[in-house]
Amino acid sequence: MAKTCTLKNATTMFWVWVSSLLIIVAMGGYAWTVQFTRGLAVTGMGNTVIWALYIANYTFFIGLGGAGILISSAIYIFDVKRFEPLAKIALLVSMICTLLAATSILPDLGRPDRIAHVFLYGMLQSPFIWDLTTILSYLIVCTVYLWFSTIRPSHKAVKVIAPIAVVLSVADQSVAGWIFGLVKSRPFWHSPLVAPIFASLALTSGLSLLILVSVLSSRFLRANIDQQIVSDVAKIVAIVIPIDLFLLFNEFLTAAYANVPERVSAWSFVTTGSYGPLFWGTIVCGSLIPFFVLASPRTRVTTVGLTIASFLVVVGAFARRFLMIVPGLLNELPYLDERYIGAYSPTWVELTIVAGFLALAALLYTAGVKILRIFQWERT
Amino acid sequence: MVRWGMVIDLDKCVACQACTIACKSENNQPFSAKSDPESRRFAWTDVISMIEGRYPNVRVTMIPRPCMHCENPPCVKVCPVGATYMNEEGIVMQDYDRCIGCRYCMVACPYAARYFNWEEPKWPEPMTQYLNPDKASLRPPGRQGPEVRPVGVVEKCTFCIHRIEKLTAIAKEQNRLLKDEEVKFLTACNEACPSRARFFGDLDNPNSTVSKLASSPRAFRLKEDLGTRPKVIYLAQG
Repeated sequence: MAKTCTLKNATTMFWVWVSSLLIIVAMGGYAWTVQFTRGLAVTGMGNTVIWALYIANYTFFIGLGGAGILISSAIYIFDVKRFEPLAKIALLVSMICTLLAATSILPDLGRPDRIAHVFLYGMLQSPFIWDLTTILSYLIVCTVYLWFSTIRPSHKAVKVIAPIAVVLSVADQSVAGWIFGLVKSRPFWHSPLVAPIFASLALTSGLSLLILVSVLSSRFLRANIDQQIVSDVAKIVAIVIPIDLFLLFNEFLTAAYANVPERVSAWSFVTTGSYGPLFWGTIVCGSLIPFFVLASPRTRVTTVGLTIASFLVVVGAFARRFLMIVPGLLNELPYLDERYIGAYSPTWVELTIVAGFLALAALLYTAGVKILRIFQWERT
Repeated sequence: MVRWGMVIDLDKCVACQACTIACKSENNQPFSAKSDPESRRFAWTDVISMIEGRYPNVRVTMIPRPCMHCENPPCVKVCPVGATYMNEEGIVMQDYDRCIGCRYCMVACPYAARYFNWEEPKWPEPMTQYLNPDKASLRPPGRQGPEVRPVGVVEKCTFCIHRIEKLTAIAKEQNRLLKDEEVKFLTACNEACPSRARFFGDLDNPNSTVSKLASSPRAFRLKEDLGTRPKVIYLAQG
């Protein structure tokens, strides 16, 4: 008989893990109450760096939530049966990350108490409303998808939902990119390549998270996942990373060669300014190193190689979001004088709230795995 | 229909920043202490310096910068809740009771003319007694114009809409249209300008002061290439 992973046979390690996550979530909650009572003045943002860590976190979660569904749907659309053992984890990860993406916009709002206005007075021409619509419908479809593949398994229903989920996933990434790409006043953002880059980042980071979660689950949650399948997902990441870098290089080249003044100043600010080390560090550690690890057939099959490479890609994706948002705002609006060009460094409130969201993601995954009995095919 | 606009003559401007201060007191903009970060200061009509060239061949142009009240405002387009809107006289307004504080409008504004209430607005003790009690009534019941803002919302220049409304009401009572001389220095910034560098008026009336000045060969608008079509027109330094 298969031994299922239930709360009864949970180890001390498990409870240490859960309680430390709960503590981080509680700290994040406390930081949020501080911010709610004292206003966004407790953050490092100002009228120059209008958006920062919270929005980076928001786009990061949107990206993470986008890719898992493709793996699950590939089984039903392209009949790729080999991914079957990963289907439920991928769904769970997508659903949790999308749920957190939808909520992680709240701490960035000056008046989170007025969030109902979005539904009462929503203006259709605002990309924020497009994003809200796609993210909520994607979240609902993810939840239904998860429901019909775990709690009430129905092959028929899943076959109908899978293509809808894929379309919504792509829409979700594009719309998130358009929030930035359609803003003409920020030369660093205003580019048709933002949405494709969001999609490629979503693929690399989302699939890497799936690899990371699968490897860690088989190590700590006693899930029996064939490493060969995980390595196959790693192969996809190794294919998408160069595409992502290609898109990024395109952005750079069109700005640099055509010598568009504002875009050149934005790019030289990112590559050689105070964010230069972070930028090059992200390119090397978040793209190049993981690419070589995941592309090599020798390292791709090792647990260590998979863990390190996928972790680097996920962290690198967060850095990439940050590197797009903050320098894009810090870079001078050409006619403004220097006193507007402040610096940005996140405060403890921002860091704690973001840490709280990350811990909440891990906590929800741990709970979801237990409640939905994701690993029922476990080793005997 | 009236279409309000402003002309700022950079030849006459002495960059004294009297407009900035007059605007701050007229529109109840929060006080910033010396310890407050520069990036959270309020100045609906700031005086910015445009630096061209490099030392020693450098030239600095001081430019008073109110909200441009664009004909094609990028801020209005992106607002998810319609808290910022253009009224029928072409003024871009902000409803403090509708705003959710997402700051998308600030991101979209190419002129950095929008300001966010990072904390509860504050004034040193005696100043709280002298806040401007005027209200704008254009779109009730939301708070707008010079009314004191709550924390967490975006605010901006209103072309002193409360003054326009007051004068329009008087003119209506006397059954006549507003005269150009009446509104020429209507806004607080124009009223305070010691060198008479700023003019206000109806851009749709071909005989108004602003219309005549706007057709000058010296006239230009900030960042015209973005297609925002600002209603604040500058006269270049000669």
